[in-house]
Amino acid sequence: MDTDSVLNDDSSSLEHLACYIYTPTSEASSTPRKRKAELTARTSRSKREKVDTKNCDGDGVRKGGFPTLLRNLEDQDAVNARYQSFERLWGDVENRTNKVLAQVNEETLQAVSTFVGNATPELYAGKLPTGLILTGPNIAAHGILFDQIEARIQSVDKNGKVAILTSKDSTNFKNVLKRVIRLITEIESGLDDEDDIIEAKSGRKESRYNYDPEIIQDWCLDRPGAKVVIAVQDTEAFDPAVLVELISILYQYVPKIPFILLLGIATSEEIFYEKLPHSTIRLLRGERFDVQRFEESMEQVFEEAVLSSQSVLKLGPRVADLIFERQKDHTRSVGGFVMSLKYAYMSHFYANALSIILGFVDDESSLTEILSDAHCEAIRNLPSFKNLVESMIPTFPWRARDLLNSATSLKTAVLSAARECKRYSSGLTEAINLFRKLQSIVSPKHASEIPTYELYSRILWGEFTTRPAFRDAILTTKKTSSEKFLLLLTTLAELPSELSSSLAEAAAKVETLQSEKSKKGGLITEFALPESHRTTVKSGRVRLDELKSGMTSQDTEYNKIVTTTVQTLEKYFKDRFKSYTNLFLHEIFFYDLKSPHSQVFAPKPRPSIERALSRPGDYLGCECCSGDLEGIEGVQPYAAILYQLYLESPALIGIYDLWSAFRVVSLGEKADEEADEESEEEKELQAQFYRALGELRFLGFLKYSKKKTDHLVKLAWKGL
Amino acid sequence: MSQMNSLYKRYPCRDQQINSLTAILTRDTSKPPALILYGTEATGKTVVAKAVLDEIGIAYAYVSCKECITVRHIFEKAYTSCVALVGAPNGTQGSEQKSPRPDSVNNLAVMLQKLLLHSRPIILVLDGVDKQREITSTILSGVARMGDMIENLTVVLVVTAYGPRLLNSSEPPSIHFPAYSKEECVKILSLSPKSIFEIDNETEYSSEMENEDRWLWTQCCSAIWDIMGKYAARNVNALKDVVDELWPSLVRPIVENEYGIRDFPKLFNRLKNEELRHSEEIYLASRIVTSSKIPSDGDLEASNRTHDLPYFSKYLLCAAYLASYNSAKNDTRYFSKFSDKSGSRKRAKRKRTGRQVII
Repeated sequence: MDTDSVLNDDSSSLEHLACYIYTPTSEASSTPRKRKAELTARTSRSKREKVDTKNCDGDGVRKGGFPTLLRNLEDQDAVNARYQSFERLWGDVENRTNKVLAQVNEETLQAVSTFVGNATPELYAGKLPTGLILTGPNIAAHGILFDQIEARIQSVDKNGKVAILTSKDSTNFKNVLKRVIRLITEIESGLDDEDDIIEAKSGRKESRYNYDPEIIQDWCLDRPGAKVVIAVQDTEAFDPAVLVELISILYQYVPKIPFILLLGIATSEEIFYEKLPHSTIRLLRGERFDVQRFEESMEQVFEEAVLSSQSVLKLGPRVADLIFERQKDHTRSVGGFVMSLKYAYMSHFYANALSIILGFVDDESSLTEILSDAHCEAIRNLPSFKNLVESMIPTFPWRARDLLNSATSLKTAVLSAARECKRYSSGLTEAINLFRKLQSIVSPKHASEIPTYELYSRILWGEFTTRPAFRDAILTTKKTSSEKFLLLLTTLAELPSELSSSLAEAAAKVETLQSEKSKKGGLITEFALPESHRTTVKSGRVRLDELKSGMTSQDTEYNKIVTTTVQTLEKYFKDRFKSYTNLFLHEIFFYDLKSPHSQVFAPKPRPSIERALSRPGDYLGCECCSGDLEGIEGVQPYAAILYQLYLESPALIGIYDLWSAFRVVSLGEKADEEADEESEEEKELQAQFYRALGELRFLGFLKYSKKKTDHLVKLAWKGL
Repeated sequence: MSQMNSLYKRYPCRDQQINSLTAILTRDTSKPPALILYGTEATGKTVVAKAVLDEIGIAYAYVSCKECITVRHIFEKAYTSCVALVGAPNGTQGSEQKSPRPDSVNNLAVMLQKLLLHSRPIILVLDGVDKQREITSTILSGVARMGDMIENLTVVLVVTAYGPRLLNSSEPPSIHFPAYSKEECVKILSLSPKSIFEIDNETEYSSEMENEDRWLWTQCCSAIWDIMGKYAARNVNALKDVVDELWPSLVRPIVENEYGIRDFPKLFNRLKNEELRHSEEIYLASRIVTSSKIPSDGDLEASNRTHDLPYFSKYLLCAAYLASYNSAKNDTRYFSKFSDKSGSRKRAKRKRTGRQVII
């Protein structure tokens, strides 16, 4: 209240001040009338708060805020179990993905660290040793990569010290040097001083300017063999002029200090060269390092996080499509994928009471224990349950009745369904791996076109076996040369699947046939027609006949093997690539809700801000603003009032007009009274007006007009 | 004179400069207050100056201005190196910490005056002083005139370009270091030829082999100068870089016994066809990474490893790039929601033309 009394004392002098800090007398409350409302509604509000706190204390802390589902019929234990199984299952997936991600950069890290360890100016013709790290366009991953590089060089391989520079450090050259010195030598004092001088420590050396690289030279004297690595994380955004100066200074000191420069390049080498003058590039010499591409690391992470049999919850095709479309169109980041996967886990366990089944897949006795009647009822409401019962009615009507009436038989059905789902997904993974291998051998081009994660969602839709991609793969398998076919058989037999033994058998047969026939060239099938023979249908047939007659006994034998093998493969794939929707309980094992993801991962900031400002009650949830209030009300927050006035105004707004309208709305009836400039309320309102104006300016709705004094320009319209 | 002869030998084609430098600096009567050495990059200014100063035995302080970040930094370095030469001034020995820092030319001049009042004459060499980023012509002329004020000091400025307006004052004596001609370049480089074969111990290295190495090296240097002297190899250092780079591939056929040493034209033609065809541009653009010079199959594979941008980012960037060709004054017309006060028909017309321009 001191400042306030000061204000009151010499309020007459306020008029002549250009600006002053206004401290409101009342407690922070956003509207004047709310203050009054608070007084009256204090009792009711405090009651509600009590209820709230009770809720939180009761359950929220223990089960991580998971709500009680099934119309509050869910057991407390079940809620807890749901939370715990989420923690456990996601923790497992997260661990495994992190391991994969750590390996993704391993090669690059190793190469960079070795380069740093070996690099000397002598090796590079007396020039500044430079490592170009082509990091790719995913800026979010760059920070992590450079942190990894730093940790690798500094802590693991102990090659020296790393100073990471980002473009926001590049304001001026002196600051860059100061930052480098601070990061390398870990000196804190003296670097922020105005006089730019670091005082000598205990008379050991003379004091220096705080940007003098010789400080680093002193540092190096104590640590022989340590390299000084300067890493520029985002070279493209770094001010080129500063970069040129930095490089020239580093080059000057190369004979004295073992500097090594690392440049992170998001675009390409050529574009980088265009940014710098040749004279600067001539000072650099070094090597290039590639970071693994998004597609490759994404594939690895997907295989580990989704396809692996250890991941119990799988993504449904709709969600998978949504996530990967977003990846393709907007983000292209592995971290983004992991986040959306986590969100899938979160929302599944948060909102689906039946998700506890996932937590007890391996523990059947506790599962039967924890499933309550409410759970059973929920299971009976699933669409897949309906399908199951309907399919049973014609053959086993009594079983269908049992499922509907008895909890025990339902639980047994759930257990078998869980096993079935697990079997399905492991079979799916196996078949996908097999199919990928087949594709990569038979038609490598197609294989690189469709990555595993896209194949996955296509298969889950259930119609993959009728698609051209599948038929192409099978047909080309028939037509491949015998060498390739043999290779195919042997590699496929190595993969774990139920076909491996029969494939190995076929491979052995083909091998013997080939060795028998090897003098006359490879084995021929009737499917593999040489291109030149296909001139017309007729001549083709003639040729075919000729070919058939020219076939040896080995060829016929081989022909049989090819036909049967391809048939088995096709049957196998068709069996495995069935749609998941035929499974009972697929709703539990496959998360396929689109809307949570589309809402969370594609935020709409503009409509949200507009809605918050024009209907603040929607967000605040307080009593005074709630209700179906459309339009301006005095109780709303000041910024919201001003925004709605703003919506009604023309493109050019007079500040005084806006102020008077604002005053009328905020004060209500009292506004008719003669305005008293000195009154406390008036002063506070004015301050709040300016604050609200400032907030709108910050949000980019307004700016001051240059054409007319004391006018504002409207910059944004609602609902665009 | 024997000292001078060794200097001539070490720094060929710089006899005249060595002579005049020695003459000016060893004059008994009065030393010049300032001296300017000028010449383009890689013409031996610094090396020759240092060698001559070492040879004639005058105490000198050397400051490389390219290493200095600010002008104050130069002053400080100049002062401390002078102090290191003649010892700290009498009064301030006890209180080392409090010693003031020279932060302007005047300050430096006064401090040096105090320092050098009774000392022997010294020379202060400021190397690359015009390449320092903060230096102005007033500071430069101030530094050059310090020698006028201080009796025992001669300031030697090493600069790239020297015009009459450089110092804004009376012109001190200057020595020009012209760029080396082709013959001179080749002569300098042939001082240290690389050998054709890898030599394990010195004893095997006969004088005959040395002669052969020298002959081939000289041929190679002059041939490369002929090809690239205009751009990639325009001074001694650049020429040396290029020759160093090409030398292993040039002599490979000799090592593999395909050609004799005297088959230089054949060797060089082969080099031209195999290496230079791909890499001439690379030398021109002076790459950082030199290991993968020739685009081979491996490189093609590597070029497939480009990182893709997300779909929308890619096309938004393309659109932004295209839109950058519109001049800024048309922005309101093409992109703004504001309408001018002119009639609707006129506006419609404008819109149409606007779209055409964008497309």
